[in-house]
Amino acid sequence: MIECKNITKVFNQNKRNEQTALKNINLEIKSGELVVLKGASGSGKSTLLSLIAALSKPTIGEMVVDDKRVSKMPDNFTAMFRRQNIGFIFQKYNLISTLSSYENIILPTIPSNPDEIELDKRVDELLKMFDITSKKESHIKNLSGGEQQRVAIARALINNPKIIIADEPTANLDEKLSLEFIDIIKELKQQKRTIIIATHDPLFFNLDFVDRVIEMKDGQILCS
Amino acid sequence: MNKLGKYFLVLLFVLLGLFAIETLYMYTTAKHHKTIKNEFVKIVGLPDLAISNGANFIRHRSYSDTFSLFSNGPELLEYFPSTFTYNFAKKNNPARIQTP
Amino acid sequence: MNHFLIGFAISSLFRRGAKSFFTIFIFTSLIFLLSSILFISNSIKEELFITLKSLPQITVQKLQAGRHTNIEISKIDKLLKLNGVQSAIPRIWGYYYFEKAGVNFSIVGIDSFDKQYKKSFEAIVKDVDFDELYKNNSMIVGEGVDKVLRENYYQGVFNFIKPDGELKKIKIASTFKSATALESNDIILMPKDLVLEIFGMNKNEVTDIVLEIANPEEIPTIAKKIKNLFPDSKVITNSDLRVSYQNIFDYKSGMFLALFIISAFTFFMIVYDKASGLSSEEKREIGILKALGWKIDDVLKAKFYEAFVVSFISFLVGVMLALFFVYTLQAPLLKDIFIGYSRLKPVFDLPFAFDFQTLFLLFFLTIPIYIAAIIIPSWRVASMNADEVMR
Ligand SMILES: Nc1ncnc2c1ncn2[C@@H]1O[C@H](COP(=O)(O)OP(=O)(O)O)[C@@H](O)[C@H]1O
Ligand SMILES: [Mg+2]
Repeated sequence: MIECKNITKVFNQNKRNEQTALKNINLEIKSGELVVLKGASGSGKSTLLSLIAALSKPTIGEMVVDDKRVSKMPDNFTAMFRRQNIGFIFQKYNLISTLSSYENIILPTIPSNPDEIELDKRVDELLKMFDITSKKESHIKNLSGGEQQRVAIARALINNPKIIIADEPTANLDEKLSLEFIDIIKELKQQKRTIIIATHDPLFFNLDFVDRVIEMKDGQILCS
Repeated sequence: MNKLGKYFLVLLFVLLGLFAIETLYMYTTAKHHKTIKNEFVKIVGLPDLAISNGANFIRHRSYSDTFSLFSNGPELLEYFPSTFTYNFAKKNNPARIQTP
Repeated sequence: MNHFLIGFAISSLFRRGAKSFFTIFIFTSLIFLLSSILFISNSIKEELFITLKSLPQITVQKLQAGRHTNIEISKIDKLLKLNGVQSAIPRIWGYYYFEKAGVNFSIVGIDSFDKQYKKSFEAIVKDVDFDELYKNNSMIVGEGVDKVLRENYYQGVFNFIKPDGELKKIKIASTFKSATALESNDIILMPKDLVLEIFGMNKNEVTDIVLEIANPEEIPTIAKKIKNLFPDSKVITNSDLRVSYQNIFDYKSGMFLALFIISAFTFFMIVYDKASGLSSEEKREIGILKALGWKIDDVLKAKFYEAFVVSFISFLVGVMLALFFVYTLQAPLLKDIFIGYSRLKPVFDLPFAFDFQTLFLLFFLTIPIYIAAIIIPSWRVASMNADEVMR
């Protein structure tokens, strides 16, 4: 369960370029729910996602995830929280281009010093699931956009997180790949994970397995 | 650990091993001539090494001069550090006073 | 020990291949230079200390108007009367400036070339011809002296110019063994009578008097007594010599260290700051790792391993190269810095003197500084907000 309580986020507070990205957001997302955040560019979707993932802290208000007040946690605890609970699929994938697919996928597990055999098994599973087994040792810079995204998804899933967050996942994909991504989301939904997708791609708005579409405008929630 | 990491660790240990072997080798093959040198010094009785003989206030510095260059006081023995390192006249032009 | 983290650190080094290589190269050269200098100075120091115990326990000299003058031979009796003085031996020695080569020879007089020295001479002199020596009109010279004389067309004999302008012709009986070159290079050894004649010295005066003390513990008290007895004297004890040596090398090593460390590290820091500061690529990488749930100290650990591997490998390689350079190749070029004032360059082997203290010093002066130089900028980036990667 994710609860946003009266969240306001102001960038560059008290400076001339002050910008209020989110205004008094109240939102509740239940476990296992699939929520699509919709809205024009600049409406605050990414900002909201980063608050949920505890990548940044709200200016006012409180973020509670699974009864943990993540917005009040110190840095090292939010890192642990992210590692254990959140799989983040970034808009620009944020892969390290000089590493191989395998090395990128295991990045989130490294700090917890995993068991090598189990880890390899898990990676192979994911590679197979996303049909990129042959690219295991390829460097990211030699992969196509779709392959890169699948590596990014595999990386988001490696720690088996309960919450999956995707920011504009289909922005850089053609229609065929976008449909493939939707299939992947469907499967993740069946695995009872909480999924939050920020997008302005109409493909997502009429899917039968989407529980809610939330529209945002100028940092506020319009309707849900 | 990945392969590179393993290679690197191996490299590290190889280097450490080589280092140990090198020092050990040098230690065992080192020539010291301790007795000959001591025999010589006993006869001559002068301190210091013959690595500075261009000026008389440098060779046997503690014996030779209380008045040497830059000595800080008559009670101090010569220890001016540049005496080993400063080379002001070329071998082919040893005269201290330049003639035009 | 998280071996995934170590693996990640090492593969990061490889990913930045050229830069890592450059760093290792600079670091290795730096360590090589510093440790070479330390090894050379250690060796020379070792060389000095080897012979320290054979030097006279107390040397008494005379000062007049703040300068050295010759000391009266008559003082010997008074010195011998002091308790604890076992023997008092007058010495005659001095410098002879050989103008043609611009070289100072150290001339040392001994009683005479007689049988008492036979054993010693067999040890330190090349092919001794005792018959020739006992004629007492010959000298034993260091290799350097021999070489300079040869270069100036003196074969087997040398004409000393006496103070009155007359020439004194003395035969070269032999040279000292090369093993003693570092001590004997510029030495000329001959009977005292000849030295007195060459220097034009008064028969009842000597250069200094050396004392043998029965109990080494008493050396300081006896030195004090002598000073009271002859206020115009300069009394040099064995431990004074040790202190003098120590001072020279503390100064020298210290100067070199300070100089080299300052210059090398400013250079290094500038290079590092300019060339590698933190590139935007590296900053992004740290941001990604944080967003993926790495703690700040996970990031720093990875950076630490990277820096440690680089600096440790450079350190080992640098020290090994320096050992090889100094003790196997005998430090060409660098050795000249230490024997820079020498006209008669002695040919000598640097004795192997391995000082762990020196290595520790070098280790702790370089590696932590380098690691800090890597860690601090990374720490600054790593403690920024993680949402930077969203943009
Ligand atoms: N780090 C930041 N610093 C300053 N302003 C920001 C920052 N991140 C986002 N913003 C501003 O906040 C607003 C919301 O941005 P964002 O959440 O990225 O919108 P969306 O993802 O819906 O396009 C925008 O006006 C953007 O310029
Ligand atoms: Mg966005």
